[in-house]
Amino acid sequence: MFGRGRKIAPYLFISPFFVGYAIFFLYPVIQSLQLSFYRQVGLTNAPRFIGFDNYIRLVSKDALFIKALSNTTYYALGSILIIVPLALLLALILHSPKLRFREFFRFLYFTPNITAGVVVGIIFGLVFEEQYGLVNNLLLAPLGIDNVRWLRDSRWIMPAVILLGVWKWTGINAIYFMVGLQNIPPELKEAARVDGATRPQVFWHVTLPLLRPILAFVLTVAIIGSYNLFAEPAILVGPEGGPNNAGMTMTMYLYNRGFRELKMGYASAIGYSLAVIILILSVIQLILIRAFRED
Amino acid sequence: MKKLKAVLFLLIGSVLLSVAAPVAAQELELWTFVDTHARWFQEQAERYAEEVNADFSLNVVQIAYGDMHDRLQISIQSGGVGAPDISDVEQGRFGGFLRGGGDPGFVELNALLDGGGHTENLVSARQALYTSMGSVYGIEHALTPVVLYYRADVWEGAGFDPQEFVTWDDFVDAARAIVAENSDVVPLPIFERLPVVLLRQQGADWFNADGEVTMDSAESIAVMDWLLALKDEGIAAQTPAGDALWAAFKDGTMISMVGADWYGGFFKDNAPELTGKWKAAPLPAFEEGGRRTSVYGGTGATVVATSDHVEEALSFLEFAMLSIEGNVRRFELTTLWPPYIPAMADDRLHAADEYFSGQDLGALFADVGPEAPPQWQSAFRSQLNSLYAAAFQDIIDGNRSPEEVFTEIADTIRDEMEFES
Repeated sequence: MFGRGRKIAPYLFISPFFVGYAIFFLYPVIQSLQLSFYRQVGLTNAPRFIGFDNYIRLVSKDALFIKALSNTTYYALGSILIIVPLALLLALILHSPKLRFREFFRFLYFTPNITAGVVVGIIFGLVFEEQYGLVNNLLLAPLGIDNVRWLRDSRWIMPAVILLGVWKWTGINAIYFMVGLQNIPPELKEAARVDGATRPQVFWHVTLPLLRPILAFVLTVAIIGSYNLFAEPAILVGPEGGPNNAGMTMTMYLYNRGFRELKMGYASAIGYSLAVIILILSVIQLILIRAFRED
Repeated sequence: MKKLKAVLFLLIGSVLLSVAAPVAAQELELWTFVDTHARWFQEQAERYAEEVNADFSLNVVQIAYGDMHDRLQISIQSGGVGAPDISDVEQGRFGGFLRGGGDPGFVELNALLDGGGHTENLVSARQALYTSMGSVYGIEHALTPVVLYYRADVWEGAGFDPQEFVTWDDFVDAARAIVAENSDVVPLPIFERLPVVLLRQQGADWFNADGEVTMDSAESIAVMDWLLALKDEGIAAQTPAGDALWAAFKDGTMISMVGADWYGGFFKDNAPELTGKWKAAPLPAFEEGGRRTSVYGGTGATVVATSDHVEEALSFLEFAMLSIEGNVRRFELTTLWPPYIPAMADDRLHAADEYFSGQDLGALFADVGPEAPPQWQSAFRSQLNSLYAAAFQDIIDGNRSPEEVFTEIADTIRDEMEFES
């Protein structure tokens, strides 16, 4: 009796999480997989089984889905190629013991991250506005550059969203890198310097390889975050992604089909496609990082 | 011991109070996306509590346009979780609730409207927007007659009186002269929905009475082409997005606006510093003797079917929306011209409006109102609007022709209709 109780007790202690997980996460995940094979349109209609029709329509007939996928990939590339190096650079600067007011700067770069996406979207809508906005009037006009139609020219919408991403995400990523830098024993760098390595050589051959776990983490989070991007572009250019749907991301597309047009079956199919894409990309990226480790 | 007694006394007292307090208080929740509506509903709720049911109270919740409709749909779909008792639904989004041909999740109002003898008192073309297969689900707030708002100081200062324009040609001639003097001003701001507003002025729409898409009709394409020609000439220009719109009104760039009755309230809320500078005139017609107005927008009040207080909600809506008093107060607070015919003759609708240079806006709306064209509802309208919103900039910038875009959108919607049938 006593022994049995001891076996059950630990499971009871951890059960609240799993019960909550099953009800609020596992059930919808399975339910929506099932729904993705049904046509369910409207508020109160019964679903009708249609096999793979939703998936087939998605990849063969739905140009907007492909558009959303390419927009999102554009953002993901931009955020990885710009935000990650920038964050690393910022971390190196903030890590330097010579910097004055270090704590203040750390705080400053972190604040965008704790600001709600909707608030950021509204403020940046004003910042990027073409006639009265800050970027055009205060940054570009003094340089003699003509007004850029940030939110109305389909070529400029994604760059604007990436700029917003840079503002919002660079700080938090820099903090991850700083934690990594603090964990690198200074003796290693000193030893390399004693052996005659230059500063860039120390960075490439000592610092960067030791930052690899942090880099893997930052990249994985960046990819997942990029493919889940929603609030900022939805507020900045509207739920349809603005002119030519140039700002429409995958999650916005899913939301529009599911919650505005009430096509729940179709939206479930989009959701599963998105999950598969993120999974594949994350695996590829982890393999690449690990291959890096072997040499 | 004394202390213990006091504590016990307090405890028992508070338990008794908490049991006794909530006996009859009836709190209903109402969602709207317009602040002018929120103010009016609040005031009507206080009046209802005073005159009809002292226990009634209304929690008016204001949520942003897109968000409110999305949340309402989701809560109805999930069986009423978190749903309000009463909600405003904008006519452009109402069609979405009918998607799939199902029940939209609202209380059918036929019994209230027919039984109370209200049906004849409401403008039927407006009620059609909230009707599906004979069932009425909403009561319209506004007739939404469209007029030409203009900066009286600018137009009259240049020697023109827009009240005397008969056709759009008259308007364009005067605008040409104004732009020749000052090329910075915009006599005709083009907003996304202007083409369809002007199409309705001509008696057509993007959907017809049978629910078929007619966006690619010759008239529909012609209106857009006409606007683009005016844009090339420097008479028309696209409105800035978001709040910058009001900046463009305030700095004097945009000197007129084609807008419905509700636009009057928007001016007062967003550009109070322009008090006394605006006036409004009937829309110029496309040909002499043609219709001098259109319809644009509109919002219906609905009762959500999952509400626990359906009777009280219906009674409140009848009190506020189907009474002369309620409709008059709404006009005074929001400039929404009542779609409730008995209220139209009330003297209070004809007060001089300080914002509009002392003009009697009511007289203008009453004058053009009877000509207001019908507008057809479709379950596919919000999707068509989404496609159009994404393509609009390309049309304005001249990257794609109206004919190409309108045909493409109409075909996409036809394909959707077929996929879902």
